[in-house]
Amino acid sequence: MSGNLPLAILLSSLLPGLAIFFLSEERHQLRVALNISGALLKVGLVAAALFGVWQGQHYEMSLPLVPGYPFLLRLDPLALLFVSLSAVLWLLTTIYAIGYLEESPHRSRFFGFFSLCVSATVGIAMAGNLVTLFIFYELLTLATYPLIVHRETPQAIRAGRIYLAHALGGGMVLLAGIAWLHTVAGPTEFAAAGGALDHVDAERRTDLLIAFALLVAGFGVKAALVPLHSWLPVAMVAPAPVSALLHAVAVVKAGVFGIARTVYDVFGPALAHDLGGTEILAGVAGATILWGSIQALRQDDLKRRLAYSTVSQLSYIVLGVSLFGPVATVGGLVHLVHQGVMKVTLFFGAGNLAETLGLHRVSELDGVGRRMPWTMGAFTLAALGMMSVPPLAGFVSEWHLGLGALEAGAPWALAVLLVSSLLNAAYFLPVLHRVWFRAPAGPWQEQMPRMRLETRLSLLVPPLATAALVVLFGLAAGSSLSPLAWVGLISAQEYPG
Amino acid sequence: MSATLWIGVALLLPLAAALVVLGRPRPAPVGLVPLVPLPALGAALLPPGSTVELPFLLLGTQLGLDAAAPLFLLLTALVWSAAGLFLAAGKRPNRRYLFCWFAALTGNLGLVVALDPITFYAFFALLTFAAYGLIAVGTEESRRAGRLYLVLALIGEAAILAGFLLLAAGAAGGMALAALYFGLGVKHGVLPVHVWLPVAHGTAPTASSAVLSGAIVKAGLLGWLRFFETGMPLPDVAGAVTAAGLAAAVLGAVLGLTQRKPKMLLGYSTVSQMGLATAAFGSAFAGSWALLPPLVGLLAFHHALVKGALFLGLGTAPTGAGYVRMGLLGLLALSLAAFPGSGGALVKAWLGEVGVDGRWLTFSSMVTALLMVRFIQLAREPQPHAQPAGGAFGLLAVTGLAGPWLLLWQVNSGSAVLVGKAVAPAGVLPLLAAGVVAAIAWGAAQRSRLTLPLLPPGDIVNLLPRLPPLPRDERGTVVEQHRLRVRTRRLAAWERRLRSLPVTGLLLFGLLLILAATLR
Repeated sequence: MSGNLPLAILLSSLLPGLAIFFLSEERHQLRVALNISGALLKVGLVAAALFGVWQGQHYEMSLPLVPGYPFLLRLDPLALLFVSLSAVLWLLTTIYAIGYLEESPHRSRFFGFFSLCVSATVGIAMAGNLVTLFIFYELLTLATYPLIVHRETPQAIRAGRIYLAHALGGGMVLLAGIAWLHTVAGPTEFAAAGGALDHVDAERRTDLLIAFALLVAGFGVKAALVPLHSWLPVAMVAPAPVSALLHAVAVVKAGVFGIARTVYDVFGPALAHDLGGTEILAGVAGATILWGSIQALRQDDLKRRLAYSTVSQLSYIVLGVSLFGPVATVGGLVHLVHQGVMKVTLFFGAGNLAETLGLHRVSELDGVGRRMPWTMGAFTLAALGMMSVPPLAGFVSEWHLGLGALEAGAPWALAVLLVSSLLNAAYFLPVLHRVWFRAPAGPWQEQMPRMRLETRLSLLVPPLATAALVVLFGLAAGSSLSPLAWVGLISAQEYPG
Repeated sequence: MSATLWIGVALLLPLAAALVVLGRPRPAPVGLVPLVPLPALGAALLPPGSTVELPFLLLGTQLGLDAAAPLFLLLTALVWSAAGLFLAAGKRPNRRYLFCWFAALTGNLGLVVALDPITFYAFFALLTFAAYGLIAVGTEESRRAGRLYLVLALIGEAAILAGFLLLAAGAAGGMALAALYFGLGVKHGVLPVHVWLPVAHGTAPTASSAVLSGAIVKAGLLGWLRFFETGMPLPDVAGAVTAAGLAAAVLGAVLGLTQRKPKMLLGYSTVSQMGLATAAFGSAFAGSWALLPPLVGLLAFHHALVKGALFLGLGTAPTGAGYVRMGLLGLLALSLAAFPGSGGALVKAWLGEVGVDGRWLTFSSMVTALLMVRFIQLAREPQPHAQPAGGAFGLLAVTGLAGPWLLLWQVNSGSAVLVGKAVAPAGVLPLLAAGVVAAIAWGAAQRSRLTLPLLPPGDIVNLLPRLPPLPRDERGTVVEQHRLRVRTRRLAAWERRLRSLPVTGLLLFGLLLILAATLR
């Protein structure tokens, strides 16, 4: 039994995805049924796994792959954090995508790869060693490419090429890192609180540091660390559901998650800190936070502004992971979830503006709050959350990150966080001001027939649901069911005693 | 139990009102606006020390009443209620304004009963953002005032967060002190971050100015009372804080004299009066912290109601000859200038008791009196947007004039000495001096057509250089799309090769081979 659950979680999206490839374009209802039932099944399985792990159960599945490295799937608390995030957001994004792509071509291709993408993501989350993780990591790269170029416009193709070049390059560096680590330490698997590399000689520290750097650089491409980030803003030409997938659910999170695995479960926080690798990483994260925010200020294209904001916000997580101490860990890992729900809300909002009214640019948004109050209400909550305004989710992250920075003796990191919050305000508040405080410039260019609601129901429910999560995760952070409580469990494992 | 009930109703009612305004497209019944803050009066009467613990909320919320809370609840509820009455009597406000009104009220009441830093910060932030909607109401002028307010307020928020984090990390040193001093001080206009205050008060609608000056600026004072703790090097900065407070008290009044709009003038007067509160903190840092909460509470209460009433009176259209209006405004002005026997005199006497230098207090009374003479002169002219709303004005004015005396025995047991000082006839001297100066100035102005020098509102903020805008990123625009199309033609050949999935599949296969080779 205990091995079947990880496999079932993996297959609940993989099998529907593969089936969808063979559906003809017209089989709309069957495709929707497959998609939704797969997504619901996955959420159910993940809920069961959460309960089981909370009860102290172990779920593990191992198949022989290459000598020393079995194909290993394992559900530990850190894996479940990522799996539950992607399962819930996948369900909502699927609903959104069904509404978004109504009547557009190549839907079978789209939803097939969409499901593959999420399967790869949960594979990354559940991987029990670096080789298993690497396989899914590369699968994710390939499954995402057709989604980015989905529109087949010149920009989309260019974005896809840039993405592929970055991601495959990163994959190779990652592979080199895995190989280097293997030559130093032999076959290893992930172990909470480190210890996997305890047997390595003290003289081989330089090798360990090189392996650390290669691994982090390999993951850093998807995590959009400056200067490896340039693919992400370009990829915003993809349809909104894909952006949601890229920015919140799967791709960038896979990179950040890989870094977290490397620091916590390959090297262990103590060793990574001791080697000095995390200090450099924290510096890079700090620089990325500021650089992303400053670039976001310059963008008039809404999705591009959001993309640079992602660059910045992802490094909150990396910063939390790289600062030594349990509180910073809590702040970083909880932001994995919080950034996900906030950013997905923002991209849903941007997608609704584009799909309903044909609006793409910040300067076109004057007075749109009157036309689309629900969408923009959700957008506003998420934007305020990004600015770390209490009682929203972003504040809970920022509080723990700031406290962690002080505990780790890195007050500069607190300064970076505060300046970043102000920069977030500087690029989000003008948007909100236009939306709510200015009068519309003229009649809207309606892109779909007017209906009773402000837009299609399937486009409206997902952002409202995620906005509710943004509020709930912040307001009820102290309850034992919050992501914060779960992350506390992980942190206690990584820093025992 | 009753604590949960009263505090719950006091906070949930305005929150519910905000949500109702948000969700209902039909105009809200504005007649109910003045009733919404009233349950907070009931919460103010709870026994001190009542607390409500909500561990699941935020990072563990603690609501309740500490020593300072009852007076602040009282003044907040009274000012918001009276301003609400004024609002209800005038032109129907739009939905956005009403939503911001109730949201700001929720924040303002909530922070008074929020005993832990995080909950306090959450309500404070709600107040900060919602107050923007009370200042920026559509005109270009108000938009600019709103932006100035928001920029300073957000920097203040960041500083407060830094201060609270330092406290939580057990580093309650000079940094935490400075962060909280300036961060919370933005609200009540400590120098030099006072610049938003007169500008916002001068441009906002009357009801907004009343709640801003009456209730909202007191939030920072309460934060100081609650979170300046032992462990901070308070005695070291006592002198500096006192000096900064007295400087604000005098400068605020002097700068107010250079204003042409009476509302701007009242804004500067608020900076001046809050400077006195800052000076009281400075004195308490040096010695007796225990005396501070009731003193600051009474000062805040007196200023809240008197200043709120002055704003409402200014915005009230006179009925008949307007003697009642001018008479009440005159009484309020005298109380602010600490005329013997007034509430202001009581506060000043108490300030002297806790060790604020008496000479400076006298001097500040004099400049305040001058400022008030100027105010009365300006208030006699017809005011733009004045509306008939005598009830709200009269109610708040009478409560403000009598209130400090009624509350004195509640908050200070040794009040007999204070009363003696507050009614001492010598207190009239600075006012007389001010009268003489005013008369001379008036005479000079009559003869040589000399006028007061005028300064733009916001004084030093006008000296700041304008930042050049960041260069826009032109990618994604029409120009860029064209350029892209030209460029991609060249790359099309490459693209086609990469686009075909089998190639990428082969690439992956190759990578796997390399992997297998390395592992051997």
